[in-house]
Amino acid sequence: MLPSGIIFKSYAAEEAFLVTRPQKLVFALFIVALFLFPMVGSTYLVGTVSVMMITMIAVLGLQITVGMAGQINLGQSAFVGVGAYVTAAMAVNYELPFWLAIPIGGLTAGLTSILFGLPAARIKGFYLALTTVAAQVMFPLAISRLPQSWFGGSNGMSMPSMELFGYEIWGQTGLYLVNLCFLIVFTTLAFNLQRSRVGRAFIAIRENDVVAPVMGINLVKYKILAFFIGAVFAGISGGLYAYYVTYVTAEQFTLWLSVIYLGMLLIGGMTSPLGAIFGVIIITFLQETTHEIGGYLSGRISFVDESVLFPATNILLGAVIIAVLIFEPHGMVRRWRIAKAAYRIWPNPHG
Amino acid sequence: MRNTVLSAKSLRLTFGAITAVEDISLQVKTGQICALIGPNGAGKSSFLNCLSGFYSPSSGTVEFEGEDITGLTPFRRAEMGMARTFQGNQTYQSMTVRENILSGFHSQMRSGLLGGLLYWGGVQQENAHFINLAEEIIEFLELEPLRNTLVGELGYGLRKRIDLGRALGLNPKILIMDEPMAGMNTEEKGDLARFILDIRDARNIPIILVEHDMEVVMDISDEVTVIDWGKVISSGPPDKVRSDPKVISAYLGGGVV
Amino acid sequence: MTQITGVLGTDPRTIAGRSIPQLLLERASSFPDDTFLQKKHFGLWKPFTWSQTLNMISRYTYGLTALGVEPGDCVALISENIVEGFVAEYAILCRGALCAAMYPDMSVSEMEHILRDSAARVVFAEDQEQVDKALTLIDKVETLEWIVYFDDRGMWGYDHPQVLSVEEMERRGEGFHTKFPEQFEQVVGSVGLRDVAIISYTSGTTGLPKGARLSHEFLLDSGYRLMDAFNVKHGHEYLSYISQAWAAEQICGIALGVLAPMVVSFAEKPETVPNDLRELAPEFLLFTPRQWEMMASGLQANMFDAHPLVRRLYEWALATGKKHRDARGLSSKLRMAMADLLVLAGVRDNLGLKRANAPLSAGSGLSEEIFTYFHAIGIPLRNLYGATESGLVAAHWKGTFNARTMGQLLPVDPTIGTLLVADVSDTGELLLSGGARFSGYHNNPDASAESFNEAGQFRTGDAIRITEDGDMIFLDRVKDLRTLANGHVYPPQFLENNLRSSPFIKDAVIIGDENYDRVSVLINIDAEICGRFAERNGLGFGTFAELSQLPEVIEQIAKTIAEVNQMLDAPSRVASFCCLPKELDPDDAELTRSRKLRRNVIFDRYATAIEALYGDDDECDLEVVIKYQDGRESVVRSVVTIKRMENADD
Repeated sequence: MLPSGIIFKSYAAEEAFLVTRPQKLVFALFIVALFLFPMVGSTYLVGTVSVMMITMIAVLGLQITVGMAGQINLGQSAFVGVGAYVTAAMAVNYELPFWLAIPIGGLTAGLTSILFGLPAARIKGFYLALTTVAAQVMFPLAISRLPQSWFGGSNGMSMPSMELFGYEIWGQTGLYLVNLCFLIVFTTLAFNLQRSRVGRAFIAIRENDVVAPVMGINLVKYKILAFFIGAVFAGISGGLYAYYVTYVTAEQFTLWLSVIYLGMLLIGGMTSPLGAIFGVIIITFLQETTHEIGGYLSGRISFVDESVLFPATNILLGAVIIAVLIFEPHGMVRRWRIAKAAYRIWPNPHG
Repeated sequence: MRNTVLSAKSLRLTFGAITAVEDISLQVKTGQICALIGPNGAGKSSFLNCLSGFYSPSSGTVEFEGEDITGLTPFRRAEMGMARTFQGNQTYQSMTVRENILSGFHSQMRSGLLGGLLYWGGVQQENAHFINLAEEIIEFLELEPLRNTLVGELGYGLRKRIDLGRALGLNPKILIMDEPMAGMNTEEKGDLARFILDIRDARNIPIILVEHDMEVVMDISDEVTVIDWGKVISSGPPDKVRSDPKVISAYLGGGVV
Repeated sequence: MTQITGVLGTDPRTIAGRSIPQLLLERASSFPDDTFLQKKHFGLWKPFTWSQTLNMISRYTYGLTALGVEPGDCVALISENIVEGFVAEYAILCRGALCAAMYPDMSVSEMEHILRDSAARVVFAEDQEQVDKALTLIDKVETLEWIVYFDDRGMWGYDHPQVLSVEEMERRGEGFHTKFPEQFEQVVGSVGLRDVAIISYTSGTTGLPKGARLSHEFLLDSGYRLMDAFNVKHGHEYLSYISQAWAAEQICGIALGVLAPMVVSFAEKPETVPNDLRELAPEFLLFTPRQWEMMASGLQANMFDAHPLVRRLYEWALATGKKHRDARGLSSKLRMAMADLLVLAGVRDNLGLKRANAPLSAGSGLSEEIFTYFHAIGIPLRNLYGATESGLVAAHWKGTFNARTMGQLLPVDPTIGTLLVADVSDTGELLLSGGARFSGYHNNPDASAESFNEAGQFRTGDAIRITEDGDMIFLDRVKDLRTLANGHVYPPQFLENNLRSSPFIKDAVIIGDENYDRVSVLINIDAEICGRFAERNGLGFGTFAELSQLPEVIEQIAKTIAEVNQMLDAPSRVASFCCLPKELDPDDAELTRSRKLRRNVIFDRYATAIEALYGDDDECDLEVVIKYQDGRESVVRSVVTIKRMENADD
């Protein structure tokens, strides 16, 4: 809903994300602030936000596969890994620039996912979840078994730094800005997709996969497409991650990470790309806070060390996810929508 | 002379030892409302599912506009112009009314994954063009005040109307309606009957109607086919069927109508 | 004071001798690409530019010509407010014919009277429903030759030789277009300012509706008065909502629409008006007191459901608005800014009234409470006084606005010349002269003659008092001031209006004339508010009748009456009342289509209850006949509680 006094004369105008002048202004200020953030944030903070943005792209992809199209995927981190490794291979073995290496990593991740998406045409729910877990299990095996000249085998791969027009992009600030640009582009793509024909088909399949084919939607094609595009996002995220951490190993892309991605999406809300953004922010914040508290405690209480902190953090995360699922199964996005609607019609309780 | 749009010839459907449809033939011509009635378990739903491609018949053929479509998948049939509505609540709850109807236009739209992601001018124009067509249906079904409401927030009768709107989005050459009036109150039934007649008259779309409400069936149908035990026991104009002794004894229980 | 004289307007957009069609032509050539009309269609606002609209009008005009409509003939119109209805009316005026517009919910017999009285040759009918009504009359009303419909929904099976679509009418007119290309301008040129433009049927609270003949000059002059007084600017948005059958819409929409000119907008459907109003947020709008009341009670009902804290905040903001809206001083200004920011700006926004700089309440009877309520919110509501026959007479336009007055005499178009003069006769009746004059009643020379006195002043029939400041106070209709058996004169409408301003009361019908020595009242409760009230207090009820007789509801009504009673001298106070067990309904002829009370009918139907109000019993058995739209009737019986007010005589 919008403030009063706004009329639309075309559907394109009606579809715009930003309509009123204050909306546009606030949004523009927000983007500018994001670009200026490294100037004020500490190196650690800028680095944390960089990782958040990389994670957001992976979770945005998960939102498409799981949230929009309703196809469960517990192997997202494997696809992030595929993206990371292929990007590394492209950058190291073929000396491709990052702006080519990363998209190739993304596409490869997408193509790989088709293999695991194919069963989705026939099975759903629990069985599909298992199939995607298989991707997760096979990923480290495949990396270590493939020729060492391809992906460095079990040694992992060391990354060159990013270069643009002959200049090296260095430091947390440089990486931050690249990650931010990628995030802006992929967030826009995700929002676009949601309102397009393909996005509608995804949602139709999620809502009712018996009816959707009778309405002319090719179920097999769109389920695979949903896996594909979700994994492309994952692969892009992986490529950026490879450049960020400068060293890629198979142990970085665990089933646990896939579960965390899903948890982020659940907390944020599955039904909108915004949910991915919210979820990543909330979980990262929680992780960072528990780390802080843990660090503080471990200095003072003798039995608190890593062996206690890691499980404690995860138990806390699990508890938060369960709590959100109980109190707001639709995630923060729904709360956000309710708040927005209440603001619009304030002080009236309903329109 | 009216053209035959859809014809089912000697359809037979068995599940192992059970015969759901023994032998049903049906012809639907342009501008006709064809009702299919019969007691519970007579094979109506199985027959409909053969028509829309969920089941493939054990024998017999389904022809649509002269083409044999017996082996085609549901989405191929939808692309060809066969639309149907469903029993119960089968709309997309989390979409708005307009999005639900717009989703019916899926097979007429062209933009793909890349277009959807980039949403450039051409894709936007395509979307706008089809929103306009969806709005035509919204007006036709008198849903204007609800266009931006989530379907999950609407009552049962309205959802059925949106189900119909979505089917009309396919720009169908035939419309199959599976018990559209079940669970509706009298007023909603009246509205829907009016819409069904308008669809036939203004859009010239033939309709296959499976319905339990005899009064409505006899009121709005041009042809009635009565089936029992997987076989056609009578067919013809409502008046003829009404007085057919076989129908009366098998189904209507002695002059209920 | 017994006489005041108005002023001349200063706005340069004067009528200057041009009739509505001539103004149309001029505007279309001056601003061909500006939006004139716009409608919400398929979810978007579709504009019609001046040149597009004029093109449509000329095609309709040729169509009418092809159907044989001659200048001076009458063409009727029955439609909700839609673009085609406006275009059709402009085409009728361009043809030099007279337009008789009807309320879309009129019954066949009401329609028959108007078609017969106006001798309409063609009737524009919006859709199948209206065509069906008109078809039952086509053989009965001899003059009626054609039914032209706008919306072809459901019309596919119709095959009557005298029924045609508006497109078919345009097609028939095409020949005329090519044969006489100059004809449109010529026809338009010959429509004079003093020619009668429309026959406006007054809703007639007593007897059959009378057709008031109103000229182009009359409509435009009244339009000018509004434009000048309220600074209506070129391009201001106006939502056409009140029916074309009402003279007010003829003045604001049809006449002022081309004079200002405004952008005249049409809602998608009657049900979507609140939403469309919100989207448009128009600058200029005119509602009846009834509609303002409904808006206020809708808002109050909505706030009933708010969280208690939000409601407290809202009530604080309202109280602040009431106290400080027009107060000076920094503290007041600060409080007002807070209340606006926190609450009231949102309320205005939700109503779609944030840009309304001239929201008018037409006609008398808006209660002070509602008036101050809107002012507290920050909506500068203004009273407007006028009548079909007198045009728009007075309004709050000089900066002062007292809820109890109708404002000051409006400025007249300088090209019309004569100033408005208001005189109050010995009997208290307002007599008017000046400005453009009413052209008399159609087919009713006696009534026409009666409406002017020997001095040529128009007799309004309204009891008016003029204050020292030149504000006009409406007391009542002269014939409605009532005398009790003991000779006491009291203003029944005042009581009714004040009672009606309670959210619990939808209508109040005051009893008490020379047959009775006390005042009593029949209350039609507001089902929605009372229903909520009952639910909140855990009171069970099934039907409206049960709800109306709940002791707690009656107690609530008694409290309201006691408050109103405080404002009057003892003999004028309400002594007893009862709540009606069914809602007053236009279908039972208890209300007019514009929701005015039909007293004779009500007195007749509820005679038993009225008798009981003056008796000694605490309840009575009431039987009421209810008529359904298809003509069926049924009798409803219920026991009605008679409640007597304490201290009514102290």
